[in-house]
Amino acid sequence: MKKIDRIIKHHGYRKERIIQILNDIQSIYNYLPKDVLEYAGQRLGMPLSGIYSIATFYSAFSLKPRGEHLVTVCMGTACHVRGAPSVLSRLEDRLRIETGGTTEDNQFTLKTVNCLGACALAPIVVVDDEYHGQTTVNKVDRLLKEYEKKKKD
Amino acid sequence: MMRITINGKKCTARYGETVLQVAQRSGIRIPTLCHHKDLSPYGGCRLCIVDMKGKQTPLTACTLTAEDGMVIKTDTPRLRKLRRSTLQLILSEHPSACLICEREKDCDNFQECIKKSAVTFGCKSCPQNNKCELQDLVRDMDIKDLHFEFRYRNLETQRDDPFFDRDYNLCVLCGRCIRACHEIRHAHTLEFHHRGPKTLVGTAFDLPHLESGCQFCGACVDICPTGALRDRFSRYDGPPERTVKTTCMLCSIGCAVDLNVSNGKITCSTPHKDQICARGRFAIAPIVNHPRRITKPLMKKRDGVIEVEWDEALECVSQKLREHRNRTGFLFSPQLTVEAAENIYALGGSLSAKLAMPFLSNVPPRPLALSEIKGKAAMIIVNTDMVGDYSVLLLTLRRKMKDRATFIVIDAFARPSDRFADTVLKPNPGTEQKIVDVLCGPGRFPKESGISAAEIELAQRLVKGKKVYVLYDPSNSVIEKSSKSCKTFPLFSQPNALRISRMGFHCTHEEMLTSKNIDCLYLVGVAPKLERKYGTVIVQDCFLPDFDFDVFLPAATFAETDGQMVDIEDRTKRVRRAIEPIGRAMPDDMIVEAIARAMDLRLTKKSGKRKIVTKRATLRKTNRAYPLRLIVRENAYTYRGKTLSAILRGFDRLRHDRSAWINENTAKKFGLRDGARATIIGRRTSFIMPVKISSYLPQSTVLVFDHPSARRLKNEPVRLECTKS
Repeated sequence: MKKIDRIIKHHGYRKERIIQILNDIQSIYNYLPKDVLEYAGQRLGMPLSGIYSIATFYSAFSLKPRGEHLVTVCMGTACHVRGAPSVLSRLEDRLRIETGGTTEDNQFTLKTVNCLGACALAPIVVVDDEYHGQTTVNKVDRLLKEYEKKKKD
Repeated sequence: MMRITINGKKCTARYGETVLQVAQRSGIRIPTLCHHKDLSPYGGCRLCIVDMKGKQTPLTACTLTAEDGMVIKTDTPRLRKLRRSTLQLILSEHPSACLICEREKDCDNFQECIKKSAVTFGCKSCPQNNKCELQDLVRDMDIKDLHFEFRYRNLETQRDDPFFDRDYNLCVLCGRCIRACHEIRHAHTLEFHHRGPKTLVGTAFDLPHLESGCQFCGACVDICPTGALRDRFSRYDGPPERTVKTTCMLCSIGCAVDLNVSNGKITCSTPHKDQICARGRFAIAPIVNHPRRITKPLMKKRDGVIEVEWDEALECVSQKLREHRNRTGFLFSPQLTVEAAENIYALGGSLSAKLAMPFLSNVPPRPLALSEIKGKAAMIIVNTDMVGDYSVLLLTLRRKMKDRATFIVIDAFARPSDRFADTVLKPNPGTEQKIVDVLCGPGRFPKESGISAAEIELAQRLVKGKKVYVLYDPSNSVIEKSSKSCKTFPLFSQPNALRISRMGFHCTHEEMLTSKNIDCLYLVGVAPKLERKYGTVIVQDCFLPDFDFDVFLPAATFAETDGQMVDIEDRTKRVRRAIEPIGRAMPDDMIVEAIARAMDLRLTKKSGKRKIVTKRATLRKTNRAYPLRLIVRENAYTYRGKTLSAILRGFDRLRHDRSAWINENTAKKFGLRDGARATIIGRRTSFIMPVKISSYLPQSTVLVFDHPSARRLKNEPVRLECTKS
């Protein structure tokens, strides 16, 4: 909780900076734990319902624990046309999770977005801020292997 | 004053008024859905759009501030078209099959196709049928077909919480409930979740309302334009045939309530213009219509308790009273009308019988002078559950001081709901006065209170330079004025306290029940624990007592009675009869009059001599044999001597006031689990209660709400024992 205090202090105990505060909290825990939000609400004098409302409004925030790697598949128009649905279903099959879920070993979380603005690279898959353009079903397997290997190293 | 033109009509607007307000004042109708006169403008539903000269796009009237020279049109073909398509979009998410059914007119009479249209999608089976604002809008705009594909949210109705159901399939996301929860009640329980098509209203983490700090005031239910939020008790009663304005007598605040009456039955109680609390909203109708209510006179005869006629019961009562005369003791509830109390006094006076003080406090009641509270003020609230027991008073105070008041709560049992306060001090029980002293004037730092110097300093800073008002419930602890700059106000949760204390009394409850000079007890709306056998016990009440009686006279509730009540500010308020008494019940004052008639007595006014003298409770120290302190708190959730949780569903889960509250460590020490039954043993008596474990309780204390056995052990050291069932 000391860390949380430091974050809130850094933002000057200002309620209007709640989004930045939540962002900083998420960078520590990789998600927003309930008890931490309760504590932050108390310190900021903000009702928990208000914090929950913001945390659910922005898809960047997660209230469930997330895996080490965040796999984001773009489902925008261009990506959709160029085969994003099959990429997504391949990822779902390989990781044995549904969209929005996290693998049992806490390695991968699968998510979709509606457009990343990089339509020239369609279909696009983002893993931990690394962009992988023109993905195909075959590339998905290689991609996952790469990250699994990283873990072993 | 500003002049604006709406639809060619010249209107005057006050500074700061919106166009919608001006139009409504001038009798021009603009359709609205998310707007409510008590709430801030929201501009969410887009139905109040108007055209303004000089602006291309239509603007929402509810958020448009009136300016001099504005020319507004509210009803052009373009606006009508836009409104219709907006409403079409709203209807695409709201079950509406019946709204547009061509056979709707015959439906009320013949219900010819109730089985053809899926029940869930039909307005006729919605609890809000004919009360629904969306239904009115559809009728006004004459919508006959739906343009968009219907999207059913397919959510389960949430029925886990007491008093009301929530079916968010019917929600139109107008946000009224959220604004009512925030702006009017300051409860901050509800909020929008998620976004876009997934947006829903709910509590934080979708917790049940019971765990999310909801006060169950019902403000959200009353403000909902659709049937998404519905009162469980009255959901299928339809719109009321008539409403009767009366005064709620469940506590001393005496809120104005509208009793809704349909088919000669009270269906529910809604606030009259202002606010009410869970008791006024959800307790009145269930009490009046309670299945266990006794509405026929009963008498104990050789072959048990049997129903009798009023004449026989009155004859028996008058005979018994004539027999016992001055050896009769009258115990009565302060929740009777003033007329009933006066008649009881008069009957007692004519018989020279004894009258006991009907409330427990040992402080003379004083009116709460709200007019004295003004300016920059700091309110110190001592050992009083302001949100639970006096929520409407708290709202009045906040409104009076325009939310600028500082609130300090001093209570060892401060609850999570006390977070409305600027600071909460949790001292050791018994040291509250010392903390008030140190905050209000010269006082020594109270080390024994267990509060750190930093906390006291913070509170002192909050109080500095302000007028200090101390509010306390005298049944819990007595606080005296400590300096000139502070004023104290005792809060009495029972109605009529001021009036009855002026009438005087002969003895206290305890003295009456232990007195040897009493052979006959006449109990009006009280259910004490009887310590011994009496020659005669006469009970005049709505529910059966749990002890033996000779005669039971069925009394009417305050909803079936005409009379007066005196509230906490010493104002007299009218109590009106909404329906004829159920069954053969009679109002209390009339029963007493009938007894006097049967006895050929002329009711003379005579009052008791004794007045209330302030007594300060002393705390006996805990020891090894009795390591815990029993704190007994006034229970403001009672009606005629019965706790609401004992007679009504829901209140038990909201209040847990029939349990003994202990801390986790105490529970561990005595090997008790939540809900386990425990015997609470004191020096003089013991009683059994289930325990409720709570984290906010201090160590080594047991908290119980007032009940007959606990009263004898108030503030005494006790120990707990696990009771095997």
